[in-house]
Amino acid sequence: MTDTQSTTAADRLEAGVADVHVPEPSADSEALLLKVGFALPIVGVVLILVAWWQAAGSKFVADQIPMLISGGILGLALIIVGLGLFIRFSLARLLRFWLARLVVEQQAQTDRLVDAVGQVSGASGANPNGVAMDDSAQIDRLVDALSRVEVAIRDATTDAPVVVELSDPSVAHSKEPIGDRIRRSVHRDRD
Amino acid sequence: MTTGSVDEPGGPPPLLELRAVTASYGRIEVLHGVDLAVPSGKVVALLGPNGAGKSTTLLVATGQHPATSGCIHVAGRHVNGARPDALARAGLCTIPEGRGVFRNLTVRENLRMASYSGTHEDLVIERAIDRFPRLGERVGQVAGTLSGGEQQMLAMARGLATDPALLIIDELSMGLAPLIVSELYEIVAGIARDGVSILVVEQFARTVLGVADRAVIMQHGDIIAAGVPEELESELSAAYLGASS
Repeated sequence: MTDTQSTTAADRLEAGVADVHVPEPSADSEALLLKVGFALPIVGVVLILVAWWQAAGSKFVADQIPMLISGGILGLALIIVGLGLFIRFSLARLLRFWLARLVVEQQAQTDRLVDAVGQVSGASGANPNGVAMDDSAQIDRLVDALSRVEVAIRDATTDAPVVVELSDPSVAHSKEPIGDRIRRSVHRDRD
Repeated sequence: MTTGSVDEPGGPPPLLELRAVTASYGRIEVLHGVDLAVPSGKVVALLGPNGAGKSTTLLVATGQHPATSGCIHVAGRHVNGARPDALARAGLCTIPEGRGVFRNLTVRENLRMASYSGTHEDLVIERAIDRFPRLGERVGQVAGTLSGGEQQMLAMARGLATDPALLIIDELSMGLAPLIVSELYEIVAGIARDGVSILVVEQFARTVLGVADRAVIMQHGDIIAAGVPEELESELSAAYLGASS
C-alpha cells in the first residue's frame, strides 16, 4: 500500500465525517426549551384574549366562569411557565458567554504579565555585550521594568501573586522584595 | 493498563479511535473502558473468545449501540451519538456478523442495493467482479443459494462498492471452511494494499494474524493485550484458554 493511497482514504473519511451531524443532547434540549419558553407566553396571551373575547360576548356569569378558567387561568399558567423557561435558559446562555469571555480575558492578562516579567528578567540581567553595567544604569533599567510590571499588574487586576524572576545573580536569589532592593540600590548610589 | 491505541505524536490521527469507551446492555456493563485505534492504511485484528465484547465494540464504534461513556473519534472528529447511516456515508463501512446479504435477492440485486449510496450500478458490479471473479459467474443467482464463502464475498463486494476508507468486518470466518477463510483473508490483504484501513473482529485468531499489522486482544470487556501479532502469542493462549494474564 502506498502513502498516497492511505492519505487519500484518510482525507476522504475526514471530509466525509466533517459533514456528520453529531448530536449534543444538552445543547439540543436547551435550544428546544428556549424556543418553548418563547412560544408558551404567546400561546398564553392568545388564550387569554380568546377567553376575554368569548366572555365578553356572554351576558351570563355562569357562562363566563368556564371561559375564565379554561382560557384565562390556563393562559396565565402558560405565560408564567414560558417566561420561567425563557429566563432560565437565556440567563444560562448569558452566563456561559460571560464566563467564556472572563476566561479569555484572564488568559490575555496572564500573557501580558508573563511578557512583562520576561522583560524584567531581560532588564535585570547582564547586558548583551557582556560588559558590566554600572549601578545607576542597572537601577534605571530596573525602575523602568518595574514600572512596566506595575502597569501590567494594574491592567490585570488579579489577586494572583506576581513572581518576578531576575537573571542577575546578585539579585536573582534574593528574598527581598524588588521595590526594597531598588530603593536600597538608589540609596547606595546616592551615598 | 493495556490499551489498544497507538500513540504517534505529531502523526495523523487514527481513522478510528475509541478512548475509555464503556457500553452497557441495560444495567449490565459489557465494555469497561476500551481504548482502540485503527491507524490509516493498517489492518487491525480485534481478537478474543466468545463474549469478550468484540462485536459490541464494533457496534459502538459504528454508532449502532450507544457508548455509556468515553469518546469515539473518526478521522480525529468526536462522533459520539452520530447516526450509523451518517457514518456509513462518511466512509465507514461495516460488514456485519452473519454477512447481512439479502437472501431472497439475486447477486446483482444485492449489489444494486449498494448503488443507492451514489455509485452507479454498473460500476458496483464491475468492481465486485474484478475483485471477486466467482461472483461474476453467479450474478443471476439468488444469494441464499450461494455458499457461505460466496455470501461473504458478496457482503464484502457490497461494502467495497461504497468506496469506504475504513472497513469493519465482524467474524469473517464464521461458519466457513478453513480453506475458504484463508482465501477470504488473502482478499482482505489485497483490500488493505489498496489503501483501505480494516478493523476485523475474529474469534479464530491464527488466520487473521497473518494479515494484521496490529492485534488487540479482548477479554471480559477489557483489552488485555495489544501489539504486533508476533508479540501476542502468549496472551492469545491466556485469553482463549482462560489463564490469568
